[in-house]
Amino acid sequence: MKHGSDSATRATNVLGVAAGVLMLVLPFLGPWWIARAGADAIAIALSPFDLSISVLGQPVHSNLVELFLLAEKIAMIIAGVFMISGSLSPNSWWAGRLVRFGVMKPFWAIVGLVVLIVFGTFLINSALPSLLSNAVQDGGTSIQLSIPYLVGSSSTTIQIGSQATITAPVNLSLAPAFWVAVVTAVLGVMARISHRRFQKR
Amino acid sequence: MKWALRLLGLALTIGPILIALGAHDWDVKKAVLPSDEEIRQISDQVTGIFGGGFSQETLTFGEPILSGNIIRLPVTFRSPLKVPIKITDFSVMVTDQGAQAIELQMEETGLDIPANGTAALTLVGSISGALPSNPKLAAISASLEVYGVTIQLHPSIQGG
Repeated sequence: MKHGSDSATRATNVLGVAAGVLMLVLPFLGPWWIARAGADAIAIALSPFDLSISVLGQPVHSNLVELFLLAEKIAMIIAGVFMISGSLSPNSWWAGRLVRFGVMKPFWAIVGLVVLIVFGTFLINSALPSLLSNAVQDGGTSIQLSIPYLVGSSSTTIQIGSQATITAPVNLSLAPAFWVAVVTAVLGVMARISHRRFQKR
Repeated sequence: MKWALRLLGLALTIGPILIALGAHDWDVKKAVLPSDEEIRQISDQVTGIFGGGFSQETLTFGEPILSGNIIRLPVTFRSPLKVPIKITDFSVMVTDQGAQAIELQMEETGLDIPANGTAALTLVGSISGALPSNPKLAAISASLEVYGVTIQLHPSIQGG
């Protein structure tokens, strides 16, 4: 990954620069994962930088979660800047530290998001039906949930005695931004490997 | 530099938690959960869908029209719901003393009704013999769509 002459100071870790640029863009690409029940009866759009929840058209916010995700956004941008700086001058004494600060952030963001969604879905499928059935005083109420893990479609049915049945289609999907994140994570891992080669020179 | 970067990472993790808790008088519940106003708005929306409920004024049956063995019954539906809905299916079972029960089905394939709106629909069925002299509503079945969620209702009929 050396450009121009063989002067070490002019070397550039191209993979690192590419990963860094994508890390700068990633927080602004929108949700990575979208969940919908009905026609936006419940809508969730999630990424490691943003969370949007609306129930029957009414948005729901959590101050702590929003600030935490804002910090994640800032951290990713800083990591992207460090990544580019470290990759433009990979032989500098400080390059390794800057690159290491954020090179694995996209990878861990993907892992964290997937684990969170799968764990959340597991909790909803296993605990929510009995919680809701107990909450409703009517003994004839039963809830059937089989929400797919991460992606897919299913149907949720709430039976209220013999008088009413509520059925909601549930759709879960990964947005294009998720795949950009995967590319960024792969580039980040490759950049880390190639950075070691620069350091050895 | 190593420690500065570690501190930066730590600050970006702990900072938002401290800021959010500090802004809500260190009340974890208030910092994490939606505000009371947001919860109230959602409750209002849910009440808007199910509140008010269906009453005798919801359905008004017109005069039946008999054509051969086909009976048509005009019905006016006054939605008690504060959100737009779509009626996808509606049927009633009418009985009379000693006569065979008549099932009437909604003729329209789907009927969009605005919030608290009114819509006219026609129930159609076949009848063998004369119109019932003292008809009684034995059963109602309705299928509604609200926000893409299907609600099938089979309310119990008291007194006919």
